[in-house]
Amino acid sequence: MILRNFFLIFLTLALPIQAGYYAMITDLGISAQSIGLGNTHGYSDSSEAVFSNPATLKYSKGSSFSLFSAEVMSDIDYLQLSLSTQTDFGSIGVGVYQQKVTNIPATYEYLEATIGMKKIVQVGSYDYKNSMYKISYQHPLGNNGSFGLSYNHYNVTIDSYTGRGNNIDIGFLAPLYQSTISLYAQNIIPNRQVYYSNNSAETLPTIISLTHIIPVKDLTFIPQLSHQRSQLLFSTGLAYKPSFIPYFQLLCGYKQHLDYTAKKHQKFTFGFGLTLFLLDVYYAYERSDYYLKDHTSYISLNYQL
Amino acid sequence: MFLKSLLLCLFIVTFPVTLLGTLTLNNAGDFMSFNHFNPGRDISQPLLLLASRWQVSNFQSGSLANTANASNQLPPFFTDPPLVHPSPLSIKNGGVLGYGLSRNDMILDFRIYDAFGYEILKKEFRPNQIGGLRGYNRIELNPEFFDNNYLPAGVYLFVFIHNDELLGKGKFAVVP
Repeated sequence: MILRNFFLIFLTLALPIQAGYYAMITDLGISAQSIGLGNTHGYSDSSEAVFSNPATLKYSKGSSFSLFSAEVMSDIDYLQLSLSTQTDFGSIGVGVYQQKVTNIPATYEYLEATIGMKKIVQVGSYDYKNSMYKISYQHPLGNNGSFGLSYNHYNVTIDSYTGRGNNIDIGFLAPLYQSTISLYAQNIIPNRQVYYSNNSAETLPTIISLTHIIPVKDLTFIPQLSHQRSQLLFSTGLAYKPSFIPYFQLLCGYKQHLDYTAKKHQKFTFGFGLTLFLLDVYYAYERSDYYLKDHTSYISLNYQL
Repeated sequence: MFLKSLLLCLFIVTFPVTLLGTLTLNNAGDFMSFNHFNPGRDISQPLLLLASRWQVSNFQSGSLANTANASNQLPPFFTDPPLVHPSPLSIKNGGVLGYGLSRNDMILDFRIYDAFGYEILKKEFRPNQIGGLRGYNRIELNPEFFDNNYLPAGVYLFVFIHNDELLGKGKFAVVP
């Protein structure tokens, strides 16, 4: 009886209510390093972990600053800024991830008498901004493990419309022989929504990612399985850090990815990283469907303060 | 354009009375069909076209089959830029994509991309059909147009391609 009641309560909480899913802008990738590794989690050593598994903040030494920027289809700007620091009682991080589009035509419809038909004309323009704010906390666990928690605030502005919502992420890191297991769950509170000023809402999708980070000599192999919007997605990354050039890193990845309509796509990604004293510079490349530009480039910087 | 073309074209059936028919033109002003006013009458008499702005008139078995306007000699371009109304668009409430075309013999490849750069919709607009008419075209943007897929709030980009060349592009925002 208890088990049945528990199951019913779980179903009530876990089943999505009748609303479309909110598009998570972080699905693009949180940094050039992460994109170069097929959008895998758990391998970062900087404050960008605020937007990934927060338990990974344990790899960030001292204080760290991260910046990621991309321009998709020459019209959509992405920017990620994050900061983290280690304290006596764990690591703390904050960050903002933004997607911005300017000059979207505002339109007006009028009846053109000569053709007996309504025509549409532009009467100005407006901007679109989708922001995600995060506060993260990481705490060490026994046996070299780590636990992390993030609070997410979502804020959307489309002309005069606004949308707001919030949710929680959790993450774990656990050593397994010579490798590490990363478990990362985004938006763990089921059926939380982003509410819009026009009385509509979108459900924040719960995304669960299980990643295995396996170092083999100069190589690190990172297979990952994610569950998102009722679909299983496989990704994998491969990082090569040659022992004879310790400041250089080659990245490649494969990812299965959902578009805005939840259709599955797959892509290969490539990249490299350079370490210059306390600064890490990463570049990633992937093909794009867009007719006018068949690829997208990503750049990110990490700095140990 | 429609009224102007009607005034310019006079159809006279020689006997017993004049102007016994209705002329049907498409949105671009080209001839589509002729319906007799009184089917009981003999309409086998010759049809006299007094004046026309059509540059090309094709006849089949002595009857006017179709026409092509001088505008089809123009290069392909948008006479009115592609725009979405209302903006931002709510798919559940519906909207319209409107644009004007300079020709009616163009095959238009229409593609929509999401903010990650993925192509989420591809359609083809053919000549003399909705979306491929010379003059102004209005495409209904409703759930059926998007194959009943939910489009999350965000910005979408679109392109029009003709003969593997970009004819025009635009963007629109969606609210839930």
